[in-house]
Amino acid sequence: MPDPKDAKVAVEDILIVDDDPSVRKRLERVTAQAAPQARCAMAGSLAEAREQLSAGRFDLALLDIGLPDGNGLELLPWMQAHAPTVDAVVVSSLGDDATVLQAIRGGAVGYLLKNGSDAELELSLGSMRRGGAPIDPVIARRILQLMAAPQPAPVALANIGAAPATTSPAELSARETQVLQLVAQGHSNREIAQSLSLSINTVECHAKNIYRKLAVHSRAGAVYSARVQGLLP
Amino acid sequence: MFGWLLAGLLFATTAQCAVPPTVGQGFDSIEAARSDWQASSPPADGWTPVSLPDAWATRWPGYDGVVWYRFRWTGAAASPPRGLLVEYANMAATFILNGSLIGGDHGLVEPLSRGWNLPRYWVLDAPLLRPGANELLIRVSGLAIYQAGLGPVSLGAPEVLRPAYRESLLMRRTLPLLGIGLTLVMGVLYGMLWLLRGSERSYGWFSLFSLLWVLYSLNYVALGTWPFSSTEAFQRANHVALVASIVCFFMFALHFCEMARPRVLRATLLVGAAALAALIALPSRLLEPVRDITVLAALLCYFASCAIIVRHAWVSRRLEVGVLAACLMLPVAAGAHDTLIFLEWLPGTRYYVSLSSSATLLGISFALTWRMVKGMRLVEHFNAELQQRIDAATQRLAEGLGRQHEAELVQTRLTERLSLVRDLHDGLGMTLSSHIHTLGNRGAGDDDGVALWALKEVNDDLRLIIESSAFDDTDALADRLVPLRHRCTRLLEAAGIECRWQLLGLQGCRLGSKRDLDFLRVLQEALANVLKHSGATQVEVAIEAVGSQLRLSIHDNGNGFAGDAASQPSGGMGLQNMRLRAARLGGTLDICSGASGTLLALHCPIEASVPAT
Repeated sequence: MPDPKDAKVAVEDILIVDDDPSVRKRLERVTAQAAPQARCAMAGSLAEAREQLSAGRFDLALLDIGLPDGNGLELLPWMQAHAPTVDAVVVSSLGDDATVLQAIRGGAVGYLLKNGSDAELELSLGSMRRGGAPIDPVIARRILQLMAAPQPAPVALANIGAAPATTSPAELSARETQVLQLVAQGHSNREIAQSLSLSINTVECHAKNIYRKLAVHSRAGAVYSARVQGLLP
Repeated sequence: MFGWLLAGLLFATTAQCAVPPTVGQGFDSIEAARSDWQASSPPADGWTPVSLPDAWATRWPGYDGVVWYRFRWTGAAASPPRGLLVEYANMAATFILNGSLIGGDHGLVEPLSRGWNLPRYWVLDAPLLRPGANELLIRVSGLAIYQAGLGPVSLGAPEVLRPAYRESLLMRRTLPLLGIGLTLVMGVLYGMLWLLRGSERSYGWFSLFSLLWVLYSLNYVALGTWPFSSTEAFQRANHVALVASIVCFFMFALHFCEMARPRVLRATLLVGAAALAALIALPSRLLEPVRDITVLAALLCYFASCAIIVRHAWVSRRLEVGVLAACLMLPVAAGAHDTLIFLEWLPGTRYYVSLSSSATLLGISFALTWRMVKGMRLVEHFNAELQQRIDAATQRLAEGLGRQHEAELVQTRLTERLSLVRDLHDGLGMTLSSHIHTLGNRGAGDDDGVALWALKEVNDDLRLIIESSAFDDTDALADRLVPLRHRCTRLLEAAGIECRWQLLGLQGCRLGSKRDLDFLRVLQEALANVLKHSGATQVEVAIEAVGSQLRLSIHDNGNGFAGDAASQPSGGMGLQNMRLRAARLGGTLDICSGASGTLLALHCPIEASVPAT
């Protein structure tokens, strides 16, 4: 549980995009625990999500991948264009790091592993509310691989967010690379903060910055990227 | 074939200075006298004795017209039939024996019949042949420029002269006709080949050479000037054909020997065209010297072609060129031999030139056919080789595809497994979390405690399985540890328990995926206990590979769980479970718990093949 002092005082509006009622219920519950003041809106499909995002103001959108009318990742370019202030977070399965990386390349600034325990989900949401982003060793390792050999994408990376040459990811700073390397080795935020003389919060902010740098920002680029990955026709 | 030209030249230049010994026998006197074109009877005077063969241009230079040859002899009283052989009469002739016409040509004025290469033979008997004085008159119409005159004439026993006539016929008629036929066939055959395969230029030039050579060879066998209206026109056309054909032969040699540089070809064609134009356009009076020059030039051109081919044969060492060179040399050698015999520098009377002349033709056709066959063989070999290569490539491709397919299968199986496990967890995990949540909220009945513990156990197992399904069997323990380390540390630190990790000597340490799971499960369980029950503020995790042993120690500064565990309905079971897994790893699990904390130590062999009993 995050310390209540750290929590944002402002009321938060969170959009949960998922078609499974039990998942929606669980996410709502966990959200309520992590941020008691937060208000949750629900959307069961891409169309509903677009409608909600156009109509109201949200701080955070939790996107499921498998929606009845399409892939949740399809919403990312649309959000970049129509709701740029909303932080997009994909709700992904454990072990599906390829999807997570794709989402990050599409502009998501975080991810939740829906098969993690409630406590972990709470931790992740708490980190996001503090302006950070959760990151785990598998994702860190993937990003390092991506940065090391952005093009041509090796076979192992071909099916993840390998963007076309024109939108190859921006350079990460030395510090960001260090953070990634330590995460990939399994070090906790506290350990990383200690060894790099940072605050724990800063480590999570680094993660968010890394995601932002990885995102393909131009709309055309994102569409192209999605098309390359077979997400769009 | 070319030997004829050679022979013709030889005879033309040397005919008057040599008299074969058997010729002109059987006569008392041979005389000649001139008369005008229309005369039907011999002149009364102007007779001069001559010897045969006779070319009257040496006696009466530039004389075109009729010359009468008069042969006189005395026949025996009861003479047996006599044979009369006339080798040739240049050009048209009439034969009158004792006042009776016994034979003759049709065209005695222009266009003259062409009997210059036609032997004639009669068997004479009484009453035409008289006892006592006999007179044979041969009226020859001819043109000085074409060696007008009379060949050897023999009177003798038919059994002697008939074979001579046959041989003469063979040499002067049959062989040339045969040669013409052969040449025509070659010309047409290779012409066809060239038409169908324009890139084979040497075929084309050879065909052209052959066809033109046929036209030239007509000179030897034609009995009239058809299609021309005069001897001069015929001869002119004949020489044009000769020169053109030799130019073609030279072109053939250039192409055949791969010396067909554009500049050389152009120069050759230019010179050839100039010579032909001169032959066609020249006025009659200038024709003779020019004709001789062009014939000489053609002969030189022929020898140049031979030289080119012989040199190419020498340089390239190719069989077909060698054979061709030999075939070209044969008539030349025969010509040289015949010349020597003719000049009586060598003994004998056999002339080989006309026999060897077809060798050129045979040589060329052999060479061209050989090349064609070789090309076909090459294609056949190429096809066979291609087929082999295609087979090999197909096999390689099939193997490659097979391997790829296999790899894809493996990959697909992995992915399938992963997604199966994930789906399982998505469904099952959600249900589990929800039940765990419900049970946890309800408070702790004993039964519920056990059920809660069991559910959590299943959940944790699933989690580990999924985490490790992202790895393959080649990943080291240190790598597989990372997700668990991250997850546990995160939860522990969120709960205010500082977590220190110490990994030593784990590079390249592998347990294998099943044993990995047991090991990680022990670690997870132990840390879960620390999180839930120890009340510690610090935990130290040390994993160390020493020799063949793997050591795990987890040390917390909590208040120990020995007492606490008894009060937890699931505590004993968690511990039992850990021991079970330690046993499966072939190791030992020691737990030392006290007021100052708990120390859990797992020792197990790294290699699975050392099971502890």
